[in-house]
Amino acid sequence: MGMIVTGVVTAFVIAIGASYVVGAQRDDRPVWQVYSTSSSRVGDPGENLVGPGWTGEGEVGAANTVNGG
Amino acid sequence: MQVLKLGRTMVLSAVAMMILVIGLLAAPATAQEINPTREGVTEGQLFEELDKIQGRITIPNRQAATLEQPQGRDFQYFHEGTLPWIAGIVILGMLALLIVFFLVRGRIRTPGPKANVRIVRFNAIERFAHWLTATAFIVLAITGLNFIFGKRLLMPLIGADAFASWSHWAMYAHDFFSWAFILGALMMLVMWAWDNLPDRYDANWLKQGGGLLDKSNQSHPPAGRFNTGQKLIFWSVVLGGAALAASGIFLLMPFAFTDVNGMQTAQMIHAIVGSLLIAVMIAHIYIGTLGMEGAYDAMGSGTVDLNWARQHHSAWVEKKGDAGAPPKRATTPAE
Repeated sequence: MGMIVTGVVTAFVIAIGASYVVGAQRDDRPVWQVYSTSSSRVGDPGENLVGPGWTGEGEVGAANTVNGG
Repeated sequence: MQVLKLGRTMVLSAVAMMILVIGLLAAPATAQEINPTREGVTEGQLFEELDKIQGRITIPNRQAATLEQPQGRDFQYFHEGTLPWIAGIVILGMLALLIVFFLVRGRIRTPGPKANVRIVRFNAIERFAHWLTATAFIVLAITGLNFIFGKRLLMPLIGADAFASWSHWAMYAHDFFSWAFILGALMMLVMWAWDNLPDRYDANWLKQGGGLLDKSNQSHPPAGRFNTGQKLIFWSVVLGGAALAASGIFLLMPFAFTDVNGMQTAQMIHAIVGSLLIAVMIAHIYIGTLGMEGAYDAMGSGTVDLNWARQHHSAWVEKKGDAGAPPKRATTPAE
């Protein structure tokens, strides 16, 4: 029974360790962040521009507006 | 004379008007015939010529430039149609086979009384490697089957939100427990490869079907440390595990080693081999617990009764004796 428990615990320890090692190597940013470029939305120029500070959340053109022309 | 001239003029005017009207009516039709959009190359023709349709993009994800590819359709058909059938048939088929086998054959029992002498069959390191691999494999199997059947079977029961949360964690578990499986499989390969090579007992073992079908339990063909059935399971784990590990690393690091076609091929290999290995492991778990009397002890406590060992692995017991070192006795369980 001891080896069964040891095997189970070790499997979890390795998995947790792998999550740190592999997780550090992987790019876990959301898709909208990975695959977006600096851009501006010009449907309503001067009102709804976005820039590098855009988080993808909240109202576009309000607090996140950063000189996106 | 003047009237005649006037009449001719009116007729000519009428004819001219008719030509003008006909010309105006015909004009749109003529314009339509040279419509460049209609006459342009169709998507289907591009598909036939280029085998895929690609465009120009400005976003960083270069994969998005491939708009359509026939292999993608094949993969979608496989993923949504063929794969669930393959996995369902091999796994449920194996379960059905084992149920029928158990009902018809019953447990495989060891004839004769116990020797009341226990010998060590697997040492602590061997059992550790086995249970490490087993734990990881069970997690991988459950989370792997979620990829195939989850949205069909589980999501209708627990709802989309709960299923999304579960699948999110299942994906992480699948990614990270895979390393424990690889480590355990490598340990078993190093420790047991030699004893799992073909030997002179295999042909006879196969000829007698391992004695599995003998309801009298008297037929136990000679075998070394591992009989032929165990060897088949061992190499299934080693070779299947290698295929799973290789294809899994491709999937763990998307597009690092291959393009979208390669990713699809890796996923097909991973899913099919994984399903087959789950079916094999179900048979292994059955024979190691319910199917064969005394088999669990070998991997549970590490020791087996000497009579059990002589019945199932007679050549192994004899070899130990011939080597001048009688089977190591364990008066008390190893743990």
